[in-house]
Amino acid sequence: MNLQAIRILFLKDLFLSRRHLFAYFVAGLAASALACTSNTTLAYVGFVLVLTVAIAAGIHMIGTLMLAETTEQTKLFVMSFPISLLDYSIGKISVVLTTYLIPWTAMFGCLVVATFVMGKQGNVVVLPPIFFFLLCGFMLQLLTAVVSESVGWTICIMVSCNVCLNIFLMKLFADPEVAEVVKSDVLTWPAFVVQIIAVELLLIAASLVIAFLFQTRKRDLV
Amino acid sequence: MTTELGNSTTTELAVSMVGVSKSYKHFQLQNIDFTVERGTVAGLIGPNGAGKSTTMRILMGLVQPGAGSVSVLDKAISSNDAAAKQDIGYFSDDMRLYKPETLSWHMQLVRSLYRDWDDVYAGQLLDRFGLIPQQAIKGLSHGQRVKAMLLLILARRPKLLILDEPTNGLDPVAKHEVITELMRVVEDESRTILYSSHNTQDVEQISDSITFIDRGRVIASSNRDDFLEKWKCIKLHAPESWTLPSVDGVRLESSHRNLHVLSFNQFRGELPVQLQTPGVVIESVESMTLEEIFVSSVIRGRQEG
Amino acid sequence: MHSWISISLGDPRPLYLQVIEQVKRRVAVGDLPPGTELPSIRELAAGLKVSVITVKRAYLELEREGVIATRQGKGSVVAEKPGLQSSIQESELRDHLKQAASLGLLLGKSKTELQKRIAEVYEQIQKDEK
Repeated sequence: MNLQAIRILFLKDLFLSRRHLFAYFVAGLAASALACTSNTTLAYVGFVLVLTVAIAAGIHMIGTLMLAETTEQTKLFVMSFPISLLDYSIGKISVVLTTYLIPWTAMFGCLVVATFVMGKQGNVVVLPPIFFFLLCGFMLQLLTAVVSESVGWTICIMVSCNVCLNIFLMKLFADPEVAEVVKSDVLTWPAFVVQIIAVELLLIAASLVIAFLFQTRKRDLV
Repeated sequence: MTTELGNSTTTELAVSMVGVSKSYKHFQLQNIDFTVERGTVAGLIGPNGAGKSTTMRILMGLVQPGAGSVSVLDKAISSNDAAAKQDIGYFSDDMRLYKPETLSWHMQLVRSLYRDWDDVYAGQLLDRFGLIPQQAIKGLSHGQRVKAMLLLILARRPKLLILDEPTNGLDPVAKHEVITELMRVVEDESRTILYSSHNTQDVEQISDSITFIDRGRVIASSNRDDFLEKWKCIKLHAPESWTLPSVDGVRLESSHRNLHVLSFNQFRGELPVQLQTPGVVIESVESMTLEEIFVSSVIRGRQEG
Repeated sequence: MHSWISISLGDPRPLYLQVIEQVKRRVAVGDLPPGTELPSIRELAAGLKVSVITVKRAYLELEREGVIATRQGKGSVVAEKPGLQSSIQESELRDHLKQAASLGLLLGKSKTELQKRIAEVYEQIQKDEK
């Protein structure tokens, strides 16, 4: 493993995505701010925008940093560098994850802080399950992109994740315990929510491990 | 004899492939035996889809062969061996740079990855190729893109250049610039070039050895002048009772009434005399161009295989 | 730098023969006097944009014919041999005659017929020059 080369590859991709990254970061902050306004309609629009930014950022980064490397034929250029498949995989998966996590963390953090500041502490209970759900969906798309190297399949998984997200939100808010906490000013963690978060974290970790194993077992690099 | 002339007897190999095979759904590379001596220019000629790119990708460790052994610059090659690639410069016509970024950005990137990057040489190459470092890749013409990629490879002085169709689609001036630069590389006798094309004219002049490949198999390998001396085309008039003589490497290329055109791939000076049986009049003994030799070898290979 | 030699891919002959012929011609007309240093094999190859093996083979052949001499560890020079110029001219003439004779033989011409044809051509050229 060549750490120096991995660092260069990582920085290269970070630089290549700089404009998109900045745009998603700003859009994420704006959407979060909107979601925290007292006007219910605006706050709802803001919340929808937060979800949209998270979904768009994920598919965009996977598309431009990972899949485009094959379709734009830059992969051949990169693979001719003195790097191994392991170096390439570590650099690639970590940079895609990083570029996603930057707007994701900004929005997540912004919403948690704003909710606390505004004194609606109970609302915080829904944030971790929702954001980890988004991250989970992103990881599944990343895994699909690694395994299939196909834009079609990755979009297919993204659409499925979005459908599931709607069902998930419905179920989450319909849960009587969750509804109770949201209304109150005290933050407590119902067992239902804790279980969801645990499953989500497990899925995220599993996707990451499988993506790595799959990527490093490829025999033909191009 | 000078030491340089004397060196011809020691054959250090820059590239060696023994019994290499690779299967795809609709294409098979079969049992490739192929070597390139250090300090030489080797041309790999084949029609489109012959297996040139696959062969070169195997040498770069980008594709794992199904069978056989591959050694490049005395190292076994595999997809997890990064060190070997430090000394190899790989170009492919299928390769693209990052369109929104500039050439100078690419130069910085490559420079950070290779220990032997030479800033002075890179500057000379910019000059000789007429490239502007501040220009974004998307604004470059095909010829400029090829030259930009070659610059990125040449400026780090690799010991071995593996160039997959470098002159494909270049105008004559750009082609001349590229070939001049490649010949400068071989002035250093420790450096080797392996170069593929579907066009004999691109490689014949500068290649020390030329290998023809078709349908995943090596069909002939020699140097240009040996090819030209061994292959001849004889036109003769013969009576109707005449049959093709049983000489090694003869093939009837075409017949029109009693005029026959024969090609030979093991021509010897005494051959025309041997062919002069009663009634046979030899009209001409002609050299063949490398392109004619290539086409004839491919057709012979396909008929045998 | 090596403009005294030019190589043509349109010429059907092997490239090394073209190099040999042109070096010999330069020596024969006195452009390259005895003792002149020739470029190294790799230099000439790079200059002409031909393969190293082509120049190597041409130099070996020229050395075998005594046109050039190669000194251990140094470059090659035009051989310092009396009568080199005329002997090259002589051998060039012999080669051309040989080619004509073997073509005649192939076409089934007799010796006397060939002699007659050469005389005819000779006279024709003399007449044209006047």
